Amino acid sequence: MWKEWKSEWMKVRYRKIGLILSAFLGIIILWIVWAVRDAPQEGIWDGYRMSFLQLSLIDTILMPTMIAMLASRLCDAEVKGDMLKLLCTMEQKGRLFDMKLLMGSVYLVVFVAAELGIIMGMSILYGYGRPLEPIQVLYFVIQIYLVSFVIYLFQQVLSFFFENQIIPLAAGLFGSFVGLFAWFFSGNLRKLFIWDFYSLLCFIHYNWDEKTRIMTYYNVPFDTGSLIALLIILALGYTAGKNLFLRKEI
Amino acid sequence: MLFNCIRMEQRKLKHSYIWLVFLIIPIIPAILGAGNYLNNLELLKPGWLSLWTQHSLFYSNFFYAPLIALYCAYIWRVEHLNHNWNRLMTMPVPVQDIFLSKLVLALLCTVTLQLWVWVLFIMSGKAAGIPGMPPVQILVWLLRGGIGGMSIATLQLVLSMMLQSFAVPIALALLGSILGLMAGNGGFGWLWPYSLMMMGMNANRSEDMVGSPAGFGISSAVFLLLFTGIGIWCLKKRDITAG
Repeated sequence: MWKEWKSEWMKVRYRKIGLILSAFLGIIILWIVWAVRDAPQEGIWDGYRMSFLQLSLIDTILMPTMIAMLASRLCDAEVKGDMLKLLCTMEQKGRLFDMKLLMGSVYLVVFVAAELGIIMGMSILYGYGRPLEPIQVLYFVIQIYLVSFVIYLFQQVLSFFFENQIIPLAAGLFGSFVGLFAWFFSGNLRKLFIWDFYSLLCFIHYNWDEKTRIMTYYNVPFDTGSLIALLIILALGYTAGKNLFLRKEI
Repeated sequence: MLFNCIRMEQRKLKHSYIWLVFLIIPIIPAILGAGNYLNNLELLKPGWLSLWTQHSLFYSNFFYAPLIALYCAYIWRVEHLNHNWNRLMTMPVPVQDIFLSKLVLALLCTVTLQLWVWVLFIMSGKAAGIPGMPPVQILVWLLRGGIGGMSIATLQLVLSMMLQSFAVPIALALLGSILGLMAGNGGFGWLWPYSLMMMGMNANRSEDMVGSPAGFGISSAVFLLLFTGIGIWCLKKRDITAG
């Protein structure tokens, strides 16, 4: 297993995946700085909740496309390099699928950790008044990481399945749109799409006062029903995705 | 020769189903815009202009540029596969014609996409119960956004030509759009092609964001010529890495 893991990292050498993800993080930093600078004093005082909400929103837009790119990039050696047949003579097909999934998950762990670092950095820089609720860090990790991981699984299956990468990338763009859609509408229809879970699992809501133009943030109970639904999707998606990959004609 | 190159590029796109992406994805902001408009009728002034603010908000800020990027990446995709660069560069065709033929298709795509958005805008307005037809001004904004979109298309063509990855230029277009949103709000929209498109489309505004049409036209033309020049120069001077 160690050899397969190492070979996966060798495949992505010089592909500058980290650089592209850093560019996304750079934009997220700019977005948060922009949001905090424009916020009134009350907003800055409640900075943690503002940051959690702002990051959830920008992640809904950025992550689906970023993950589509990440999955496509990680599967390049097999798809574009036409190496799948050769690789499958040397390692178990199922193991290859799992290693790719693990690779993607590592990139996502680093990305979510960096986002938490951004929140902490901003709190030091701007001196947020309201203390951080540790449980919200856990909620944030579940919300962003778990949803992103499920999306990554879906994108990996698409990237492996279609030689033409326009379909996975179009799915990523579609996901960004549908995810945004879910922030503005309510109803059970939202649970149909995996990208909608960013908003379903959001644990902060806000009120906007039209006269004073001040946003006030408040906690909402974490949606455990949606979390369970997401875990079921993950389990089913993994089984179905791996089966599809195992049965793929190479 | 240029005409032949355009025909050749069109042939490469045959049976690609790329049009399906452009047909389906713009439907989502149309639904989102109409839904948002109906949800906020107590805050908005009913009418086509208010619907436009909701429709253009997400489409222009986040998705028009990545869609253009998707098309540009697709028309260079064939070259990046199976050592086709070598074949392309040894053909008795001037390199500027190769680049310009792809550019013509990309520019056509940006304008056609805007016209499709116009059709969807009318349909969503009618579904939302807005009487009459939308003002011609909105069509002008859409086409003006298309002019801004042409600068993006040229830049994306250069990026897709230089980067062997299909996915990275699309991700860069999304990042460019978000930077464009910030640059536009900071008053630096003239200096960033992605903001030019948003300004042209009057994204999320009912009053005109383009103060000087001449300035807008000059800025768009400069970006278009600059990136076209860079693209042709790169094709002529850079060593091709066939992947």
